[in-house]
Amino acid sequence: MRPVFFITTIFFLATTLVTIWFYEGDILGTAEAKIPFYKLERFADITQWAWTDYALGNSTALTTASFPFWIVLAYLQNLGLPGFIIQAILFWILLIVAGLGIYFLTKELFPEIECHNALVAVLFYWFNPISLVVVWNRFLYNHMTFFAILPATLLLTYKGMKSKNYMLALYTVLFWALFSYTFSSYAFISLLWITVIFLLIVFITAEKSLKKAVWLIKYFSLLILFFTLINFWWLTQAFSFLSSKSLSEKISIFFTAGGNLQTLTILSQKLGNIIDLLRFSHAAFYGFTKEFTQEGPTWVDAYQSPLLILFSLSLSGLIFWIIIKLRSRLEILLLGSLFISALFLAKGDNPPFGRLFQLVFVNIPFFQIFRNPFEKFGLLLPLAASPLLAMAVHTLLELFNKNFRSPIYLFIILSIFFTFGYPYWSGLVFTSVFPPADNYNVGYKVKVPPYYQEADEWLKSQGNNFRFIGFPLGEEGITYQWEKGYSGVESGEILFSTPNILFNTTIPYYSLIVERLEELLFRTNEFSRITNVLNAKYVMLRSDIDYREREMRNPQSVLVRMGNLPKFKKVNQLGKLEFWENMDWKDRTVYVGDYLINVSQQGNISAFLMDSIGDQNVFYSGISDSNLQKETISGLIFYPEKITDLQNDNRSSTNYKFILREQGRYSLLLFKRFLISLANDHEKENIKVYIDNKPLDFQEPVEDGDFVNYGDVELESGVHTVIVESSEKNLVEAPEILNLTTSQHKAMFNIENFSPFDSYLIRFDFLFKYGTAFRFAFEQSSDSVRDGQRIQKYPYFNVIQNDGYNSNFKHAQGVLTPYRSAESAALIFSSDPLISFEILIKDIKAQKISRPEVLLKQSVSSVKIKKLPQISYTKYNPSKYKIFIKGAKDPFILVLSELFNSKWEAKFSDGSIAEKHFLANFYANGWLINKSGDFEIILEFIPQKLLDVGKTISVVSFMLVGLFVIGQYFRKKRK
Amino acid sequence: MIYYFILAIWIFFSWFLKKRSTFSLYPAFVLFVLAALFVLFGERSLAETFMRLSLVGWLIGIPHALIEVVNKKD
Repeated sequence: MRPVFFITTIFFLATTLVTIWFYEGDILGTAEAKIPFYKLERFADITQWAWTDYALGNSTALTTASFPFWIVLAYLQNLGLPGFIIQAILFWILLIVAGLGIYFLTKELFPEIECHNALVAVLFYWFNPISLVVVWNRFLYNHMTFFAILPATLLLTYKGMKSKNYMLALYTVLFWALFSYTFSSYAFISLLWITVIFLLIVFITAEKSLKKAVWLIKYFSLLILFFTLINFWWLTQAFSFLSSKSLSEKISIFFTAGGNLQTLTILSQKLGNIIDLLRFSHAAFYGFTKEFTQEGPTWVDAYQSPLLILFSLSLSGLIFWIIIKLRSRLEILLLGSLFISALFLAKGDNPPFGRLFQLVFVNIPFFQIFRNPFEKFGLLLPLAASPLLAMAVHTLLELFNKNFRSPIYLFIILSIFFTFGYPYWSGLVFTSVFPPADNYNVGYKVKVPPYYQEADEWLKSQGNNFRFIGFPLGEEGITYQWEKGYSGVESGEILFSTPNILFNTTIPYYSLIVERLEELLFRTNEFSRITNVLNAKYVMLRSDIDYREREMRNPQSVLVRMGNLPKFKKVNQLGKLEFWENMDWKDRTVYVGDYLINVSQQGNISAFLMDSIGDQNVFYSGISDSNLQKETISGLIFYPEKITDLQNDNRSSTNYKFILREQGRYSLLLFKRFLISLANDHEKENIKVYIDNKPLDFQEPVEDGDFVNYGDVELESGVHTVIVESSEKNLVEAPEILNLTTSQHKAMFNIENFSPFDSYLIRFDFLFKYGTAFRFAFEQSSDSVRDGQRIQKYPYFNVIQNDGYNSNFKHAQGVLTPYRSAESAALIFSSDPLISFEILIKDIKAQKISRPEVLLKQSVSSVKIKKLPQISYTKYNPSKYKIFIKGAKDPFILVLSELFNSKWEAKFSDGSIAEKHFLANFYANGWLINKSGDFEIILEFIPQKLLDVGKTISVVSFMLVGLFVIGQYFRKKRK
Repeated sequence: MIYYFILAIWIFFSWFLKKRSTFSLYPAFVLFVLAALFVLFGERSLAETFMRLSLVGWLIGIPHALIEVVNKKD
């Protein structure tokens, strides 16, 4: 049959697949990929700038690489094409590019292969279990684009190096540019180049000629040069981000080499067994190992059958067989080397020679992007295996009589088509164990309710100079209970054009602010002070989330709280979204502050809850006082570093350490929530504070907003300690001795005065009279429930076994920290009623571990009231503002309420730059402006300039290379 | 460490006794087949050990075969 038949088959199969996936008219979305196809223009808008004002603002860095991808798709949506059609077209293109790439790669490497055998390579590359899990089920677009371009990359590079044709280098870079989304991941940039370098090494080894080696290096250099020019726009952002302070801060706060190594080792043990890799399988997804819980949905159970194990291992067997049989062919050895190298790398630091992987991993920090080696290097396995398998089938069939060839061929291709392909044809590939994707009729399908569009429109109509905060507020993951719900990373930037805070994540400064927001909402009546600092005009209450699945707070309790919160008024309700306006809000996108208050590193946003802090005061850190003018500083707030907690029978004490640079008079303040809890217990007088081990005998404490001022103390410079000691009573009402028997097999004790923001010391003594074990559980109102079973937070504390030594009571204790969203908690003791037992439990105690927020404050008495200048501003885009200052007399502070980044710059009209740039209000950018009169300032995020230059270079280079390639094509045609 | 030791012995016999690449490739294949059988019978741990030994063979055998091809070209 002619090749066109097989190419048409590839098109037909891809069309059938996307029709099956999208015929219901729903977009697909999950995981970190979110739901961009709901509103494509949002990602197009975000990725075109170097800075996004989403959340508290952040640099877009490498995601700018995906800009051309989104702009094209957004254009299609603006033409009126529905999101699901665009997504279907994209998936179709990716399948076609991957399919044709592997088809032509197979034909290029093994020209003798018939087209129908090359089709084996296509089906295997599409449907193998690694692609199923890592590409389609994982559902990340850069995984998909990488999977699609990999075969064509190998083909073009192989062809270029073999035919010694420089034009192929140009084709390669132009081809890559069409799929630049791939480059939004450092791992995939590296993998693509690793593949090219691998080919270069094989060719240099095989050529054994210096002249040819020089040519190959020239070819490689040309590839790098044009790659750099065409991809200049996102390369500027990548290097800018890699050299930025934000990255080093992020790494130092959230990642450690030790932590990454631990992750590598765990993932290698889980996914790096060679027996699983040679079945092209994600062992945990398919539940191949008993040590790890099955991560895939129940339909994967079928893949544990011996027949399917035999089938998948037979394919590896065929690959190894062809390597041995045709070992004299360079192409076979090239793919064989790639296959074995991929196998070696994908197994991570597992034996054999896992230490070599570890050595590189530890000594080259960049290599730590491969801490999940299976997910990255694993994708090279099907790339090398597919053409080898096709060649193996071709060679195998030739061993048989002609009459047997067709049945054997049909058996192989149909086996791949149906066994590996079944999850694709049935749509099960887009399902998971988590709701709502565990419902196979829903899977990753998402239908966003129309009230989100209405809410977005309404917010836009309220202006563009504010952000809003959504409650309940959790971590990155969210589950929406829509008709076809969504489970994945919160997609606030897609659902709303207005900047918002809907989740917490590992971004320096941002995470420290957001982790306290829900607590402060419930702790203080002055929550509007906090929302003002964040320039949040509205609080959005959402009741369409599956809060139990995500261990979040019940939206009903937020609703009750909002109703009781002064200075907030419900202004709109759209579907299951309620908007409450902060009546104290005024635009603080850019504003002027009067005095600075120096705050130590451990400081946090709750400091704004002191009445003594003025509306225009600005907290600063990260810059030396000597760089600022003394007269602009009105005080110092010092947060001591907590060193230990100590608990005994009824007292809780917390030790703090601090180093004072200057001697002086300091006020000692405690956050009121600590006192409130004690006041409720009528034990206020039991608080004891020691400084340098000397008890302080303070006067009656004075309230300062949500803090309580204990009084002043004179302190020398140097190291000091503070100990805050308080009495804590037992918070459970339990009998003196609890007799757990077969007839009374369960006892539950609620924790009184429960607060989710404290930890609890749980203690009890137990004695087995007979029986084998009992269970202790710490049950919280926000425990998630799966299949009717509660998933409790402390499974390791659960089962207490009878060790056979039962002459005396034994003691058990542990510190348990509840979910911050829990509203109640209880201690539960239980045992299996079907087994005969009797267990005595006594001295059941739950004692709060109060970790009071302590601070030392020093005021500068010489401050005078300042006349602040008038200010107005124009926002050009998220990375550029023009500020108009009128009537400045004294030095003042300019605050931009976007996340602090050292690459924000304040520039005057004369070209000079405000050098005193610091972290303001715990998250924002502040500058000390010492200039009088009327003037203008440009606030700009510097990488934007690089991005603008980069875009020009990239567009010009792409066009020049494109025109050159087209010109060459026509010249050749004319000849 | 055992795998480094096996690697050293394997390389010693394969190179210093001037064996061909099949000296590594055939045992690697046999070890793979044995490991596959162990997987089928549910002996994962034993199967993995055989697969690891097989990998050592492939790691030596395939570069060896590549060198043979290059030398043959000359």
